[in-house]
Amino acid sequence: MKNTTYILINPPILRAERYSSKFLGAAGGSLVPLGILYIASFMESKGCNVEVIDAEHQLLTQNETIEYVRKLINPNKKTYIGISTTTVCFNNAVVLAQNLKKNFPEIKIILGGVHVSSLPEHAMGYECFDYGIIGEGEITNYELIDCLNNNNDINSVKGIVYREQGKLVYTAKREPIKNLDELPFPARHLLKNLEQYVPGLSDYKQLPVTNIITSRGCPGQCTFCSNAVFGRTYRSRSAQNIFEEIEDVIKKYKMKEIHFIDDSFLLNKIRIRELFDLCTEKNLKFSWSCYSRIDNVNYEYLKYLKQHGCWRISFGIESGDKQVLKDIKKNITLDNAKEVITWCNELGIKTTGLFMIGHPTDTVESIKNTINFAVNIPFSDAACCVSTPLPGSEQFKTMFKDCNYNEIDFSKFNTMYSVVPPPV
Amino acid sequence: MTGLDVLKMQKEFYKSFYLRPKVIFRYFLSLFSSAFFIKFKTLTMNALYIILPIK
Repeated sequence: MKNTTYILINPPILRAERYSSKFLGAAGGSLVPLGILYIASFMESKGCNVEVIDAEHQLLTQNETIEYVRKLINPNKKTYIGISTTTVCFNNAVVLAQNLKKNFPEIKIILGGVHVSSLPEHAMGYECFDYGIIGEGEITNYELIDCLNNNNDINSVKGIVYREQGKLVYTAKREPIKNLDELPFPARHLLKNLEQYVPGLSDYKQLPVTNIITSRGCPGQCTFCSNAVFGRTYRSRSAQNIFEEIEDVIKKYKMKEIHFIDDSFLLNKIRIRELFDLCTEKNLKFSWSCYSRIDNVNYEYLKYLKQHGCWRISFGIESGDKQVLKDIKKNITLDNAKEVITWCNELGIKTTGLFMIGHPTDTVESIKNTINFAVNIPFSDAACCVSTPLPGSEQFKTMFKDCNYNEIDFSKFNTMYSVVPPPV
Repeated sequence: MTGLDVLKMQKEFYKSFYLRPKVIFRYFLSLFSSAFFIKFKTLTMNALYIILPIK
């Protein structure tokens, strides 16, 4: 691996494209791209030279990204390019890969991320991509590049899709990584100006702040959620391992706040208590916020969290209509939501109610119920996006069952458009 | 329901939530507290949903 350079790219996308408005884009902030940084650190741990280009954050154009890549190519080393993309950015990733192929036809391009994991046949229909990674990418990327370097049989690498004589070939399924503690911490040192990665305006209390993920997979059955990369099996890092990463970002990068971006950070109460007891024992002080399901907390737990630096929890409520909640398989009750938000208010924890409208079974009446619910519960803040059938979700499978994916405009899948409005 | 109807109702959501006397008063109070920075940022963010035209 020592004679190999892996250039990992988060493709260029304008903030106006991601948020449908340049003003909302400016307020929306940007998070550290943990997905490619985890792959970067894993590859580095195997001796590979890794470069990261976060074209979105650096506001690079397609041409500027190509020129950036040109500078990083060392003719004395084998070079590979990895592009990680979500669905909304997929079209930009295709344009980038096509330009990269024109400029550097000898370099293999590897595609990863949620879009190729959800719709491999669509993504790999573009010949600019040589290999697609399905699911978690750390081990698969390493094994693929190692295999290519040594001219081994590509079929021995699990979790990839590639073309052979014009047809797509899928290798055996890659199992989710069981022990997340085995992964090295994300390679934040490869980012330029880490302190400039700041979440949305309402998502932090003090600067500098960074985002951390402590678990993967969600056991929930929500029909709108794409689980293509991390799957349904919940796996979490140990308290000791998370503590070490927090200590690292505080000591090395002088972070004052942590933004935990797990789908449900508070799910495992024992782990969370171990973590914050450890932080207290080692006198590690910082403010933090997270996302949680309503049914993961109780009064005593919330009290403990407040005492250990929690300033805000964002709760996914999704709808204020009982029938819609049932239809989207959210599996929470509005009474429970009301109780939990009241507790948070009492304890001085800020809350954000996260809602969506335009669910497949939403009606004018049910959306009014959602608005009334949000207004009548003492949330500190509320956010409302448009329900979007993301590839990999149950809703996408139902709505686009017999569709030609090439006719779908995936750039509209940014939760700011109503891609498929409710029929009623 | 059309896509435009959904976006109109999204705007209605933000108007109903943030343009309430209780919420505006809370923001006013925050001018004199340490929470001002957080409140100001949040208000700015959500005001955009109310002000910006629907596309």
